[in-house]
Amino acid sequence: MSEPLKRMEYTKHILDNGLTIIVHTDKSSPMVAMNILYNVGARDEDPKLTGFAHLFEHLMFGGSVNIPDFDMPLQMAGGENNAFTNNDYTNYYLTLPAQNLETAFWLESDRMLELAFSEESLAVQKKVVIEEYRQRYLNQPYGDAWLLLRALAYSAHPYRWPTIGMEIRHIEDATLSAVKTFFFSHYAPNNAILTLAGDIEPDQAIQLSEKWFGPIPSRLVPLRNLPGEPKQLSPRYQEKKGNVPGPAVYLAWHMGDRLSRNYYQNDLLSDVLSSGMSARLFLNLVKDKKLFSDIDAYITGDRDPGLFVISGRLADQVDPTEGMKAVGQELLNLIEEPVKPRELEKVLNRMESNLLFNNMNIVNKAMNLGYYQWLGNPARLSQELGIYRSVTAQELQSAAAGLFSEENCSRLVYLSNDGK
Amino acid sequence: MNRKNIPEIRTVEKLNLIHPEKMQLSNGIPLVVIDAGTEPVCRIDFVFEAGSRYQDKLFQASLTNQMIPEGIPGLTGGEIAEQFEFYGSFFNVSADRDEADLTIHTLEKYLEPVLVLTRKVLLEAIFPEEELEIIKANRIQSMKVDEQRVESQARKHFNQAAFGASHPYGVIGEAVDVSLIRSQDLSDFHRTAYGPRNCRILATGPNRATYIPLLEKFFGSGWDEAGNQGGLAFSDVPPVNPVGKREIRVPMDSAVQTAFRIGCPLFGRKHPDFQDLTIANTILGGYFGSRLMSNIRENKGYTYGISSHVAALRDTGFFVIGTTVGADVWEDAIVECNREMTMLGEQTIPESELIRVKNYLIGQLQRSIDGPFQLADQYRPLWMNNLDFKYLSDFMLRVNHITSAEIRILSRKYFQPEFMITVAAGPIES
Repeated sequence: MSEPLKRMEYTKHILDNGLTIIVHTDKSSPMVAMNILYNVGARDEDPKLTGFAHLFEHLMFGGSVNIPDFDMPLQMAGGENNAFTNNDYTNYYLTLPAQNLETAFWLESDRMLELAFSEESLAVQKKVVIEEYRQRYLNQPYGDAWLLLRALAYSAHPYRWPTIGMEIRHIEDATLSAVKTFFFSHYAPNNAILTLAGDIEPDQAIQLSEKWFGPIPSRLVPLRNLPGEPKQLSPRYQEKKGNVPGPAVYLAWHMGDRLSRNYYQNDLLSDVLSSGMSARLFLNLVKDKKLFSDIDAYITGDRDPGLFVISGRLADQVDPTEGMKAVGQELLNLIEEPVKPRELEKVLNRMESNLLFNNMNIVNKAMNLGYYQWLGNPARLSQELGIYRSVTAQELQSAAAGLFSEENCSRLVYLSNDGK
Repeated sequence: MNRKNIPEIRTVEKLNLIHPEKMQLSNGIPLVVIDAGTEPVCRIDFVFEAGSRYQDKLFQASLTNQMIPEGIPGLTGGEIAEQFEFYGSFFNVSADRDEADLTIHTLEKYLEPVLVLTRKVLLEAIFPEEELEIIKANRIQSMKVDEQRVESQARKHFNQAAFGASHPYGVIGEAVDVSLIRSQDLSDFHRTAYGPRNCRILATGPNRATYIPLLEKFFGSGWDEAGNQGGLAFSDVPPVNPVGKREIRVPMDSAVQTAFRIGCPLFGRKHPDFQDLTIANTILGGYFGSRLMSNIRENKGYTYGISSHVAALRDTGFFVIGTTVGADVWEDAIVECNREMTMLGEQTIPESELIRVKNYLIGQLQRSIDGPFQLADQYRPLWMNNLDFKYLSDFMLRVNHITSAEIRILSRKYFQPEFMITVAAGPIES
């Protein structure tokens, strides 16, 4: 019952200064989405100054060399924007009515040209990010689990810290001179991808890009030379007590990088385990055995070799060891028995729907095209489903056997302070 | 090239509204069709007047809704889910205070088998006791997590204070209330609330010729005979009865931040001031450039985010400011919120700020209807309140015409700190 997603049309152009431009025309919208992906993330940080890429994202809204405030003029033009930072890259996106498109070029090109670098903005954004750190990671039950899990699973690769930073002190320690250095070594036209989608023609987009981004000089971007993660040779275990209502477990295994076939195999394996209400972990461990109140399996999806993670909160009165043992049995089943044709077809059909539904509005289209260009080729967006559909049940079985070994596993067990 | 000045801004004069078509299935179920989109997908919303305000027992409405896909004669919940998922379809249920719904998103090519299954699930749900026990246990577990979140505590206690401890919008449910629910409670509620006379269908997608006949075929007849008589004589929502206490403190010793809410009960969408107040609220705390964001986040760095809302419920509504701030600055942050409210009522806002907010709001309106599912999201709450997209064009007119003087007068009337209820949850004293 498969049919390939229809090919998404786009035009690609590279300016002399190295800025890559992708344009997708969608006349069904009266708006334009502009997405800029900078090829810098938390993995590019100094281990003594983690959280910097994300803090920097905040500073990108504190004014640029010619424009004192980013948001106000954009609001004046009827626009809205946001941004996110992950371990691999930093992504800025905005939408505005098509007739005010030039305002987006004016704003984004000025902050690529040069930031305002104000001490005041740095001081305030450090406080804001520290409150974000507290709100999202410290003031939520299990909120710091990912901080701990990364540090447990990685020993060398910078994925060992989260984008928010390893500790609050690193954010407090950030200086304006470090901000400047970071900007000029990573925020460069030759280190960015500009994508436009919506009511815009390729010619118009390229002409406006030449006008506004063309004069920005190329910059010397240091070659990325990250420490590889050595192969994990023995199981890792950590117990954490905290103010939580009951125990939870986080299990992680090292897997392949984003462009490897192993990525697609593991993505499908995680779907077999936990995509939807008929997936194995939910049916068997939540509903049938009643060991977990919720449980999820997912891959981190990082550019460099990432993690396959299973995390779940135990049902009332269930011991974490018993829960983990049952998870182990589910993994053994994946190794010993091939996934049945109907089950594989189900996860592939869900994948097809997900790919389609996640590419329906102009913001997602712009973001997706930028992401796949960053991976190497925007056309890959239309090829993804084909790659997933080419994965066989036998491949899944051997991927599971390669992945779920005892020595490749890190286990974090979160317990409540009162020992329950 | 001029990098110093903003390129010329052109304001949008008119919204590109696709007006949904209203019709009826032959058994009288109201159907609205939004014929829009470019992809071969569709979304069908089955909406029922079956939110928590209609329940006899706490959690009856939300558990009924959640349990509908958990079993029919011959199929377990897992088997039902497997069938929807095999078609790559998304079957979701949700219940809030006024309404409850079943929503499906599917590739058009699988619509027929998906609707066959949807009909069975909707009409023949049996609420198995064993599945219910699992869902109850898991609900109680997630309530325990919520109990340790300052944001949840502030929200719950604010609703209680604003609407009254026994009002359906204000009551706080406890784990024990969940444990008391029996399968029979859910069957009873299902029988009365999920019948055809209490149902509306909203269909969205580019090929109406495909889905209208299928909806007629599977939902236009044979439903009443299936035993669901439907058509409850639902009572009006009782009068709002605030608790009376205006300063509420929820001590949570181990928290590292304090969440607070400042607000009061107000009115629903049909109140003559609702649209204008929405505009005034945008200035106060309704967008990233708002007074509250500029002051509390961008100037003082007290918080990651702060916002305010004018929220509509059926026949009523409320105003609220909400944020989570550093534990040492929460009192100052509340003082600043009150100051911002007062200031909007005392000082006329600068013309440049008013123009910016107007342009931003018009952009938001455009964004909110950009795409078939966005249209459906906007239309549904209007329709459930017997309004339509004229409401959005009226709002556009108000945005274009409202003056700074009108905003000052309105703010003075509604943003009065002395009328507000303030709830703080965090490492504080009671």
